[in-house]
Amino acid sequence: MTSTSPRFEQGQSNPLLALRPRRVEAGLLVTVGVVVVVAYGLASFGTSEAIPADLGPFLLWMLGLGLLVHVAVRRWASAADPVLVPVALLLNGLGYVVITRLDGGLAALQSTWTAVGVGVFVATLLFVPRVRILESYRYLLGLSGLGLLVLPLVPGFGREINGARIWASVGPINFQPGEFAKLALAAFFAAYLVDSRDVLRTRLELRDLAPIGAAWAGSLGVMILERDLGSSLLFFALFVVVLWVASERWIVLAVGGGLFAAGALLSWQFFDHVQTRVDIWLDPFADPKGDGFQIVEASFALADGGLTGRGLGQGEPGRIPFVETDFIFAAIGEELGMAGSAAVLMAFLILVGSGLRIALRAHRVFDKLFALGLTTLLGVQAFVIIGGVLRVVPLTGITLPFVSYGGSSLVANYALLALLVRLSHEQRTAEMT
Amino acid sequence: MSDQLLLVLRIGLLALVYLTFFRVLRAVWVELRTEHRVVASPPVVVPASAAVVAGTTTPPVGEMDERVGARLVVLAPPGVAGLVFDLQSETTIGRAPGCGVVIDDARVSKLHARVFPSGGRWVVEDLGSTNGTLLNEQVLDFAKNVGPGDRIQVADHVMELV
Repeated sequence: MTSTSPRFEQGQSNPLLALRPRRVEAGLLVTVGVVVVVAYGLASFGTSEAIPADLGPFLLWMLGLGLLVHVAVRRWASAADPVLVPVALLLNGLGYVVITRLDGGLAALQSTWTAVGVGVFVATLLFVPRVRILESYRYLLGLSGLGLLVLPLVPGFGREINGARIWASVGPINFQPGEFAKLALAAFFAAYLVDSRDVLRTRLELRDLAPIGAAWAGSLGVMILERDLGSSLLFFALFVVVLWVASERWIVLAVGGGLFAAGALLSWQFFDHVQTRVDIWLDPFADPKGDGFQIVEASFALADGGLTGRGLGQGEPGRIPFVETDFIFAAIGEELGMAGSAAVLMAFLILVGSGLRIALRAHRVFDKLFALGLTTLLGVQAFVIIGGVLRVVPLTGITLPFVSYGGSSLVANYALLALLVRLSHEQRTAEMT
Repeated sequence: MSDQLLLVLRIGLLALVYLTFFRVLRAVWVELRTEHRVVASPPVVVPASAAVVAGTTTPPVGEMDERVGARLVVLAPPGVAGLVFDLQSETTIGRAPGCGVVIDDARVSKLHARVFPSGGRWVVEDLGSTNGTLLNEQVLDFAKNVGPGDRIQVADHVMELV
């Protein structure tokens, strides 16, 4: 029960207080910039024993992107949480440095993707002035989410690369529509559950659990048809977590977990590629030159890194297949050691913590569920791939948000970041006025 | 280039990374502390909009002096129990933001019910809500007079007239 009058009448703060987060953010951005530029110089030093010739332009590039993001946030989301953007840029910067050190060609592309990502971040802030706009387009978003998800299966658009059918080509552009589908579906789930939330909370009948069944079937479908384990896991986790919080019922988690176990068992029984994943998870050394090669090399890389790493540019992470995308965490572990990889984990913890704080304190149910969904996407994705590299869970090929090479992933995650910033801004302005 | 220098630089970079995290965590900490102060400063006795809105319009003084039960006290659910809404003129109950008592719950209609003074007594009326209103656990089918001790229930929100 709420009242329409202002909540905290004396909590109305002066406009100066409103800009304090931005000053904090500016300070953090400068620190992040220094870290990334030092890392860039050091990586070049490690590989070629020379200060890179383009250190000056690189510095300007970093400053420009940081400034652009900061000005956009200051202009359109001035009250937002100050740590989201710097931490994401730190991840992006460190990832970029590691990619430069691995493959110069990819690094050039990645810097383009970063610029596009920052552009999308600014555009998202500009075109989504209020999150409730997304709530009113719920069905459009739901449909486009589904459409994007199945786009790789449409003949003429879809393309199969490295065994997974997750790519789509529209004109000259190749992209992974699933990366954008997850944002649309997070908004749709949140909006859909706002309506049924109160009913779900009071009486949870069997038919109310039907949506979980549908989400489960959908996830399995994605896995079977597109051979994309990572995304199917991500979508299912997203739906179950949001439904769990919306209904405030533990049984949702239990049913979700049970369905997940059943799905995992079924796919293990019927699909060779799932069996291989489990086999190389349990014992990669059974076939160290074949199926297990990637994980074995990653384990060696991590072990070689030790506590503080071999030094940027001085390890041999290039031996690991797909090290720029799925296995970038192993490269960080080798060259920056446990200290560096723990830093990456900490960065994700801070992002997830900030996201959950937004969700906890949001005033509207949609905002709460949407913030939760976005945070779940980020956290589960990081967990799944880092866990896969560390052999905590079976490997599922998926990018490490902000760090891995990959245009679709980077751009979609910048959009996700902008939405979190927008949610945070709305929640804080609601509290201040 | 000596290995020692590279080692020092490497440790230096890691130190910088952790310095960044230290600053991030400090920013979060400072913010949480100030937020705590802001929230804690005014005791939030929910200034029910009923009170605020009706308080600005001049109440019909003297007209209904003997009326009793000028307040609604929320009994349930526990999260909002204890909130008090002053009744001074017609007070609407519903999900719409303009209502005197706003209940953000999908089972509550936008304009669900109203409590208004009539002939020196308070009257409660259901405004054609989807899920109905209960008065003392009976379905309220037409407007009824209410007095102190009567309980109005909308969805799982129970309010008592005192």
